[in-house]
Amino acid sequence: MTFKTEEVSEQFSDDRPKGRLVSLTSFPQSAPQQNSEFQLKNEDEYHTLNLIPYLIEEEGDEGEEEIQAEAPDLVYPTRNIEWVLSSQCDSHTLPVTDPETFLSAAKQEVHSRGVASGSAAGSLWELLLLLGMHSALTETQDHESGAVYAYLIYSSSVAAGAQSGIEECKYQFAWDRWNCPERALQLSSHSGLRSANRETAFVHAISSAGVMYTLTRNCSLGDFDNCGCDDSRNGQLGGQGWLWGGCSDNVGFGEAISKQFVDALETGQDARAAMNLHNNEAGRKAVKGTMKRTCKCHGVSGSCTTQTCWLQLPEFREVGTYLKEKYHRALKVDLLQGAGNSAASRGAIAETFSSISKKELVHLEDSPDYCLENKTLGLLGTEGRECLKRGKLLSKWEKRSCRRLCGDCGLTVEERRAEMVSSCNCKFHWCCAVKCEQCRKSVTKYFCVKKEKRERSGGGISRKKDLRLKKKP
Amino acid sequence: MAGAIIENMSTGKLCIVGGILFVFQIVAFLLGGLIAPNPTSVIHSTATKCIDVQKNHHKTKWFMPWGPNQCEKISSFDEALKRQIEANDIVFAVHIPYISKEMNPWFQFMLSIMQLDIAFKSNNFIQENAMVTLDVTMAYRNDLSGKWTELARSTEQRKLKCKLPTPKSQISEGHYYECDLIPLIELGSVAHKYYLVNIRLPVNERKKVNIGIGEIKDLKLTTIFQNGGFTKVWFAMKTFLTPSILIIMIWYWRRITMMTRSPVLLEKVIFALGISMTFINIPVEWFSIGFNWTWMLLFGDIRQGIFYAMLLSFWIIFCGEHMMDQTERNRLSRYWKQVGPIAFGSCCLFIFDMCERGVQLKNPFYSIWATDVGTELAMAFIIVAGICACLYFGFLCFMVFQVFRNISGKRSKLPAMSKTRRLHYEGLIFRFKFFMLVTLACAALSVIFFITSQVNEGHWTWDGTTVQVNSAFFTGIYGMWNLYVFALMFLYAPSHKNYGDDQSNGDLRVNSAEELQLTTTITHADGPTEVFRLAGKEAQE
Repeated sequence: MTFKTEEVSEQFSDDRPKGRLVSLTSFPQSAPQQNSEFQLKNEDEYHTLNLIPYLIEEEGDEGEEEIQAEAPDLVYPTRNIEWVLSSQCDSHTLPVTDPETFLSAAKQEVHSRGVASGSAAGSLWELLLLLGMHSALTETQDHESGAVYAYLIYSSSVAAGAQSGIEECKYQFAWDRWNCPERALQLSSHSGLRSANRETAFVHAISSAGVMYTLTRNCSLGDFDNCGCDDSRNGQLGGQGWLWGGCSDNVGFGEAISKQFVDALETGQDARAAMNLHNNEAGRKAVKGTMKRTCKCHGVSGSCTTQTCWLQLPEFREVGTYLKEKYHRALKVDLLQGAGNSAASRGAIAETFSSISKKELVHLEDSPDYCLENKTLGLLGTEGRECLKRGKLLSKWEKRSCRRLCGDCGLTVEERRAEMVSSCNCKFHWCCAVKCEQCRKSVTKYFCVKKEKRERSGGGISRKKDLRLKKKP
Repeated sequence: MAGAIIENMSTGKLCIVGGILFVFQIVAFLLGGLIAPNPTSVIHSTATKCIDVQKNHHKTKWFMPWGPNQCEKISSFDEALKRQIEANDIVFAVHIPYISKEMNPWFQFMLSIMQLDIAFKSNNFIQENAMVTLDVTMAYRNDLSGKWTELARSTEQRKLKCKLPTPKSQISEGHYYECDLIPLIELGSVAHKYYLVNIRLPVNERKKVNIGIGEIKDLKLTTIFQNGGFTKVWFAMKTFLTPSILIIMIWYWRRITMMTRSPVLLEKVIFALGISMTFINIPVEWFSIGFNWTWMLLFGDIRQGIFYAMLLSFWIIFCGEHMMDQTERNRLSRYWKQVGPIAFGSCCLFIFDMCERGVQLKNPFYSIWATDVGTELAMAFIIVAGICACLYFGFLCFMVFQVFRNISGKRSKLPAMSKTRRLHYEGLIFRFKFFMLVTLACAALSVIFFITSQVNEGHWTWDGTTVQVNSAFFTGIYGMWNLYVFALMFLYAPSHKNYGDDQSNGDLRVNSAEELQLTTTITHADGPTEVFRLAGKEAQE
């Protein structure tokens, strides 16, 4: 473990990631004049801060309170965790004047704590933690230098984007054996090795896609003042940029910033790093690939002699669905054996990855058996998971979820009934429902339980159903 | 008197003229492809959701999405639900353009399209024939700290044409509908620096206003405007082309007036074509930089319409005057059957344009397509215009067919003629065909470029050089028709060469006596071209 820490800090002193992060600060800054806008940023970052303890909490709860699992609202964290986190940040007065030292210091800070609490490098987890630290810093210190400000502008969007990626991952994998647990974000460091399987590939892709998506969207909300309007690119004559040729797409901007933030987390130069970078790129390509081209005619009398076309962001769900398909068709690359850290093998790695389409997900290892609990890998197993059965409007994949999660894993399905109070017969407007009634309804839910345990517990459900369940193997 | 320049010019000279025109054509394409940026730009905005805390819907208050006086905003409607904010208290605010950018008169026009992100909920879905009612206000200001001045205010209804990409089931819960674009604003001039749009979607259950339109998640506004760089290149081109066409036009008319006879129909039509081309060319748009002339968009439409009508009429008359049958035409009334549909179709489109862009001068949010009656009316105009166009092209194709049939008929008689005469006539027929070919090529090139610009993504890149295909299309096609009109006036101007000069012309060693006989026998048809006279003569024989 100690060795690991050293290695990590050594990697951070490497030139590559620093260079990337620092290049962020080269964006034009009109920040100092807009104090009021800054106020708003603070408000946003407050949520970012909340995000981290929320993740911590979820981890422990996994698989314990499924009864209330019906569409939980966003659980806000307990105050004390939040306080601990911010106070930890405060206690170390990080030098803010120089962004380079600030970032590396922050990273090391994260690492020392991350290792202490059992998590490690190069993960999304780290990204969130890092951004959380920054927002904590913003709240306490008002005298930012412009450079750090430029970094902070995007940090809330990046964090929100990563979060939306995780939420999408959870949605997409809700009825799979692996259900995108929070642990996935730490990318299992217990063995000292980061996993490099299909699921890791998906997590990397969806989070970089989420970051790109959110940045692009927030661009159009007017959150940043230089969205897609990099003057150097359009100013073909005399650099008149905006007046001469307008702005380019916000997507390019989102892509660039996402690349800088997410790819900078990957500090190694081995096959795993190459794989993660490839999958990050695949995630960004997925956003571009799902974009829709829309055109508007505005020629003579509104005819199509003149038309303008643009690319439109899809719903993020579409990106998730697209990546899920890519997940099923992910390519396995055999590079782990005998690959040292020599320059030659690096060349081989780069060559292998460059020969694979940037749109495809890539993994190096096979996935472990997600049926079983595996503490060394940090897997929880499917025991206790909810599954779906016999719904009228369920898809095939969902209908088979009980068999996949329970039956095929050697577990049996248990039926539990619960009374639910929910609002119903609501009158809806386009926003915000008005006048709802409270309805009680009983819902039947299905859970995977161990065979012996089920036999022992026996009661709780009617005998009829018990019999029927027993008939099914 | 001799024929048109095209007949009396040697092949070599003709090639030189063709070459020069071709060079200009290439320059026109490159001007758009290499110098000009893309013709239009797009600003994507997602509306900020502001809360009207004052609960005063009548007082004019502007909601800014950012900046010093920004409104109280919510990030999503889930938040509104928690805080018990009603739909009527929500204002969508969009600032055009982005922060730290400003609009400019060089942008010429601005149109905004609205898109609604509507999530499917099984208990709150979009009903059949749903209409969305918008309370839109638009304001402008010219400095960042100044006050907003109202530009327009209106209550608009728009049809909500949405469909769900997946079947309605539990899986699609929360999925977004795919909705058609909703045209919202059209401004014919961009005279101010900053624009602000505030949109409300008022709900009234009694009057069934904004009921059954699903659960709106976001409102997006896409704003299209012409790029300043393109406008500049375009203006430069117009400013250069206007005197060129004007000079050749004056030269042409002087040639005609120098003749002893009065000008024939074809000559007049060519002159009219020149006038309509000049009308398009005159760069009155320069004034739009200094003045807030919102009618410029409509004026541009009218100018283009006049030119198209003129060009189509010219083609018909050109074919008719080369028919080489016994019928005497030379009067516009003879062509009423063919020109009638053009005039009628143009009128239909003009009325339609007045209904759309004309009304937009008063109310920039107006759209004829918003109401059922308007849609039917607009469709009626367009369909009638379409029928007229079909009729016209039917006539045109038939006439072209007739001309070629007559030419081949004459050609079979050519071997019986004397050698010099035969060579002469063959040359004439060749040149006539050549001109038909050029016309066809121009039309085909227009169509091909039009399709290309519709299909591809706007620019091609070769070794770091970006070619703006859309801009190249506009400047290229515009240049092409200018060159076409220029060539027409030049080559169809009456030749000043008399018969004596013809002798010296190496290409045409026509026996003057024979030529004299040829021309003098035709007394009635004083056609501008030799082919025409040939036709008349052959017919008389």
